[in-house]
Amino acid sequence: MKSEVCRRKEAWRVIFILTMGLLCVFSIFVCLSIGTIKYSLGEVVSALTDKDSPARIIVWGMRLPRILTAGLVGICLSLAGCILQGVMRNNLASPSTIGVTSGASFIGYITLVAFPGLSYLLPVGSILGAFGTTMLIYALAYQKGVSPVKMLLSGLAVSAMFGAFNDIIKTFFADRLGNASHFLVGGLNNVMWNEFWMILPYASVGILICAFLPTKMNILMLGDETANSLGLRTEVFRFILIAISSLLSGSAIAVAGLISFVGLIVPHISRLIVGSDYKYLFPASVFLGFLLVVVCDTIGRIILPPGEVSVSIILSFIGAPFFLMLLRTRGQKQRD
Amino acid sequence: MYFGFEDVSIRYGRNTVLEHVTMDIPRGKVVTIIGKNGCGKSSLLKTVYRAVKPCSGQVVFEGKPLCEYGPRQISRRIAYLPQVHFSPPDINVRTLVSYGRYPHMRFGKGLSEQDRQIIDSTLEFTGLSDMAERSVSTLSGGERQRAWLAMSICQQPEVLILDEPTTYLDISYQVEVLEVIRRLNKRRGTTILMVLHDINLAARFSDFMYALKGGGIHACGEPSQMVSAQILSDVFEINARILDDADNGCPFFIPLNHLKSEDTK
Repeated sequence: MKSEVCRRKEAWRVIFILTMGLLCVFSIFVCLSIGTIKYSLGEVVSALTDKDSPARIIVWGMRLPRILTAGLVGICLSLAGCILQGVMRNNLASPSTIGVTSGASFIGYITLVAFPGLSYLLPVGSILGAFGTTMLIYALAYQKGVSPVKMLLSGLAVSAMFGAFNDIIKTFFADRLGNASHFLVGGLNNVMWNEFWMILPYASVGILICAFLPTKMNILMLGDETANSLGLRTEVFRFILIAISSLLSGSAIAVAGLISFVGLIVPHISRLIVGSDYKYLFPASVFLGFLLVVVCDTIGRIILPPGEVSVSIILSFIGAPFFLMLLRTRGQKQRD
Repeated sequence: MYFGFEDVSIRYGRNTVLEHVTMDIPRGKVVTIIGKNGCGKSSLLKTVYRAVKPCSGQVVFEGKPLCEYGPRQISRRIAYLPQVHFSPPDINVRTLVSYGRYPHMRFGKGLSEQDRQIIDSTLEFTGLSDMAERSVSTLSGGERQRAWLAMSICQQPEVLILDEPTTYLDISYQVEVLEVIRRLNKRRGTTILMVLHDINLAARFSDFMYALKGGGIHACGEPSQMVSAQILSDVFEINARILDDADNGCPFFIPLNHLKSEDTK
């Protein structure tokens, strides 16, 4: 039978995850109310419910889609990071560190150039790009588990290569890229409902599938030989995981372009707080990812009026030190 | 054949490790493979779960080639415990052991009440009940090995395959682990196939032994036949004095010197 200590630990994890969930809801309302024009909570609620409210255009038409998209991007990148860290058995893996981000945007660019009128194909392009890049890195770095050095180096090289291609495309086909400015600039400026609906189907499929993965992920973490002996077909499962992480990171990249850090730090922070069991790690990452990107985007929106600071800059400023601090204090506790 | 290997050959690149090895593991017995480092013992065990793919031959279970069974079907009946273990640092013993129930779980369902009972009884069987909530990384080497063994036992396999289950353990833990294995065999009739380095321990705890050498089976038989001066000098190139333990009815040996050092004298 389970001991008291163990039950308390479990309860604490559940409470943490639920609190994060509530904070996410809370953050939506707070972020809806603040900005160049400030609204009270009452005005926000009436803007959401009443079509004729004066705040409707800004709150419903501009802030809400941006907040929801930011949240979705956060969820996608954190889950993709969680999965990649498991697949590569390596805590340094994330869509940006292994070059998936630039590979995905490369194919995204190609899609835009080849089919200039069909910008709704952009997520498909970036998902395929993400998938191709992940498989490439995996093949380059895999030898009975992925060596961290090889993974990072090949990620760096692949990143640089695709980055160069991207610059070439931007220089020579600038006229054809006009209608996809968020994707080009990166960040979430001027994101509207269109962008949200564009990625929602892909992102939600990816997120839903993740609900079925925790036990299998836990088994995979025991190493291939043990996982095989427990009846998990590791080769097939890895392939599926790479596909799902590509679906997730590709959808995020299609609206937000090059956002780094989220996919790396959110899984880490979650792991430090709730532990490495994917049953808790996935939900914790979902909420933390949502919260982090939404809050950082809102800060970027209001910090330097009348201009905006890109969410990825804010993410680096807030995310990096917080992460370092957590790593230090938590690391010590675990050793004691 | 109940379980075993049929005409298995293993090659790594051009290097032939095993050639046409046929090995019969009788039901309900403890069978141990001995041999020098690199003789292909572990590789042979790894063919069961396809970590090593043989270039010819097959693994047989209940008269059928293993590849005719589905992966989950196999893992409900045959468990394999590798020599090197990976685990997340914060996993606790009970959780680790509970993963042994994974092959028996239905899709999308968690652990059933029956699963929980099996986990509890396995923890008791392996003497881990008191440390069930401790994280695996805080355990001593012997306790950790027992925790992993418990995971495999929790799988309730008919055949348990162990790759050097006593490596890195001191003699007290070695005996402890082997006693758990023997008890499993006695009480539940689980067929055991393992690789061991310590020949005296192998002789003490096995019903049957295989000695591998030069890519094939050099000798096989009961421990009393296998612990002989001739086999030890052929397989391990050592001179040994063979003694007899009357209490357990099992021979043991004391190594005297390596054959090479005799040459140089």
